[in-house]
Amino acid sequence: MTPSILYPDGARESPSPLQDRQFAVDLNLDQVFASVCEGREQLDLLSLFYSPLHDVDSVVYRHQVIADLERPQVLAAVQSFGHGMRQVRELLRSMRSLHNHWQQRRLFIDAVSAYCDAVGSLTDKLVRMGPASRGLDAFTKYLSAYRSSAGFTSLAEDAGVVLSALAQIRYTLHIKGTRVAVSQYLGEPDYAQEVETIFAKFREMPAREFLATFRNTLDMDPVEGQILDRVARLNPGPFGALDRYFQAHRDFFDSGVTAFDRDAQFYLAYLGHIAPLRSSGLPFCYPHLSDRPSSSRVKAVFDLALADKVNQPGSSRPNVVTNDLHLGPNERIVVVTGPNSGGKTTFARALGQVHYLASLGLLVPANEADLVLADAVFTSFGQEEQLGTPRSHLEDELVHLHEVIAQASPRSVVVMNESFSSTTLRDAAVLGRSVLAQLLESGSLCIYVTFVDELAEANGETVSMVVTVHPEDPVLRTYKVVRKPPEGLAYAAALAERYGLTYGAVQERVGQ
Amino acid sequence: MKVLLMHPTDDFNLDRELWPESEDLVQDLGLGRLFEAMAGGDKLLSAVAKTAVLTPLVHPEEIVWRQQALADCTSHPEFARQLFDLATEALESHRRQTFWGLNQLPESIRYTSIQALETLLGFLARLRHLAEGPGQAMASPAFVRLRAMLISELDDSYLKLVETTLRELDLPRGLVMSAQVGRANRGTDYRLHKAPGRGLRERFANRGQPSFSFTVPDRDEAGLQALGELQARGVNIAANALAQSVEHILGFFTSLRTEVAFYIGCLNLQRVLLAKGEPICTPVPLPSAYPALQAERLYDPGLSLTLEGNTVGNDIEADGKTLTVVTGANRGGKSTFLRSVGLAQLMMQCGLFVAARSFRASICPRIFTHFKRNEDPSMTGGKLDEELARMSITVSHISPKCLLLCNEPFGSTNEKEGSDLGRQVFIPLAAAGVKVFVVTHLFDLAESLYEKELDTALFLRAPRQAGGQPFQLVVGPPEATAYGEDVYTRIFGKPPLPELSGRRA
Repeated sequence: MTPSILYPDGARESPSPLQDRQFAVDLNLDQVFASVCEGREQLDLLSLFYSPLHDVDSVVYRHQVIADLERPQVLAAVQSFGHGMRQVRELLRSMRSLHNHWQQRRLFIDAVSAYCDAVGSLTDKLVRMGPASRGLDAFTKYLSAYRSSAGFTSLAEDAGVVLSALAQIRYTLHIKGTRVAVSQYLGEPDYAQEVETIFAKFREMPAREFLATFRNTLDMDPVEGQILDRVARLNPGPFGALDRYFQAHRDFFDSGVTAFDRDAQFYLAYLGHIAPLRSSGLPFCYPHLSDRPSSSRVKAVFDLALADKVNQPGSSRPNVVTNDLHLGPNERIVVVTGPNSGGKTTFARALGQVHYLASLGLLVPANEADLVLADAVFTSFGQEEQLGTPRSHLEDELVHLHEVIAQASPRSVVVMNESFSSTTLRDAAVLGRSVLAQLLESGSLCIYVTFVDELAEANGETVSMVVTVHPEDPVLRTYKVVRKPPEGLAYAAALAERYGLTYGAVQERVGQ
Repeated sequence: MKVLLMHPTDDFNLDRELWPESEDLVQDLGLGRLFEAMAGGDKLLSAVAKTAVLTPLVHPEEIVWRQQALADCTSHPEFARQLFDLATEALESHRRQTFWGLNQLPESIRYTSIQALETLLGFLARLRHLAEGPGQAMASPAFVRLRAMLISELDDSYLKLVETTLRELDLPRGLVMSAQVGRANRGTDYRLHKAPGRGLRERFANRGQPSFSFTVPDRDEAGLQALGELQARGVNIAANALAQSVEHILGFFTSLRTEVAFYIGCLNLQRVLLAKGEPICTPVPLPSAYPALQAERLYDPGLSLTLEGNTVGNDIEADGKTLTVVTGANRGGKSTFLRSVGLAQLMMQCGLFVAARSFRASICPRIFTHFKRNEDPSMTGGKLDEELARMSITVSHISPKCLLLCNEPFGSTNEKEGSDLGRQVFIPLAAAGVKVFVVTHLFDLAESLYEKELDTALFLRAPRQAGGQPFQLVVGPPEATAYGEDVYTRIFGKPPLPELSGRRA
């Protein structure tokens, strides 16, 4: 049985990945995951990001593996193994695209040789470093046994012998007209060097290069192919060994090693993705999870997708605002109000992301997090308003909410953004209150972003949070979300100013 | 093979970057006239003159190296001319004959290079003969070294070796190359080899080596193209070496032409000044440790070139002085004097003669000018702003032993402010060992500097003119008037009104 670094007990639990991924689209996690998996498409990592865990021990199991990988040497070892394995796969792919027999054989042995190097180097490093996690420790033991097996030893040693024999072959070509003769090289002196020596006395300054550049792809043209065939005839020893090697080692991959390669990329991809954010000062932490609903506490949480955008190469240091959330054991509903484009939705997304990423056993974008291990993260983000079909839009929204409420459990997290914006304010208030009442009944944790202030009336279970504006200039956003009663529309005038919608501004604009 | 006519260890670099202050020097000292006289209409001579004058040498022995070579050229101008013409002819004939296209194939690079090398070989032989014959007359270390090098490096056996090699590289017996089994079993590290002396069959039979051959069919276009590429790989490095050798030999001729061009420029200037009857001298460069300056009949050669008659010139005795303040009459030759100091310093430090009857001075690492400028054209600041900005840049570049020539500094504000600024800047510069020359109308400044009674300061005055005849500067304390009344009177035909209050002192 090969151990897994993704799931405890070696029993490779393979939950079927989530099919409904709208929540990820709403939370912008789809962008994050796509970006995380970029460049590793072959490994089908994406399905792992849609396979949340359901028990706390499985999460802890991954946290331990990540803690190992956070040691720079361990990380470097596993990364270079990943590069090695990618190179192996690329060599095999190239092999299949070539036509010359001797080239195919050569790429095969190159691939095996790269594989042996990757395995050998990873084993040495892991044994030396002694991983602390259950997952990596079990794999290290497995790998050590594999590496010292007779099969692996001959795989590696035979390849070295064949390759070094090939590397020593130099041959001479004599071309006259269209005739090419191939023979062994007998140590003839290099003519270019003679030329350089003769004219060396004139060399005072570096001269420009007159070198032509040639195609450097792996495939050969017909003339090269004919030459290689003759070089093989001149050197039957090394080339014969090349053939025999291929016959002996056709199926060289070990399934435990290939599984590790893929599983490790799940962690590496994510860690690699968040590394630039962490080095620019944004916090990530191991969330503390409980398997029953209780109080929630998140410090300095931020929207990972937004941070990715702001932290694009070339842009300056990310100016990502972080927020806190602290809910008592009975507080289940967070109603977020405040000015437009003030950061309400971003805050809600961040909370949804933290819960979902925690259920993947990953580090979360926050400084500290005490959370429930969510059995599901539901979202309802009013889609872009589609003019002309307000009725069906509202219908869609209600149908979706109905389904969510039916499935939501006390361990679920529901993130709702500007629901009912396609109807009147009065309707939105009425419908909102009803939906919130039902969600409260389900016991789920709910983040509700709305422009309807009256929904934010605090009671024992509902908490009001407000996006704050700059105290002196309401047009300035702070993107800070704090616990306090809704503030009404005092900032409306400022907002009107900002969008050029004051009396004077509109008059002027209309006048031109 | 280095030419080393202008420096004991380094070839002259015509493309070197000039100091940032160079443009100011050209403008303020009127160097354009000097370069023009040296160039005699030749673009190369002009460029060499400019770069040489504006990149002053800083060691006496470097300067003497050029002075001696110049003396050689003065005695044997025809040899310098022959060297220059030969180098020019070599470069010209190469330019006419050879065309390096873009993306040339190695085979055509090889062919073109062999042709070019055969031509250049002829010029190298002629150069050696020139050195052996007329070159005997030259006595300076620079020319003696060059001659010896040409004779020993380009001897008959070397020229013969080059000739034979070029003939072999024509590959009359086919192409022999070798390669190594490399990545994906493709050939790598292709090398060209000498073809065996006899036929293929014989070669292999003799060596007893197995050989497998094939022939690319004449109609197989892809195959023929592949064969061509293979040959290109074999020839590539050797072709590169050949082409680079061409470049290197051209580089040698280019250096030779450039360095001889400098001396030809010197001779041109010398001829013009001597024809006018102006004195010239070989200056004595002194180490920069101690500030020294002594000159007799020091004049501005640029000005002389534009005059019908001769210049007057000044005698100056400023050993040990780091601050020289020049005051006195308008149109009394103060600016001309300032220019003649700067020009003499630059001419001495590039190995030229100096426009004076005698001149000796300590070497200055760099030379700066600070002359009046027109109003800032970008209108981003006032005149004083502009001036202070310039002075600030100068101060950031300047170091002890440098020369700073200031013409009417801080004149764009009132006397009190200007004088104060002047004191703030010049006293510490001079104290640090910068050689400062200040021509000024700011009496307050001049007088306050005079009253400091510094041993290291020298005060010169332009005397009052009589009949428009310029006089020599005299040593003496500053005066409160620049005799502006004289100028007024000359132009208006009557004297100005008298001063109201008492003259300030």
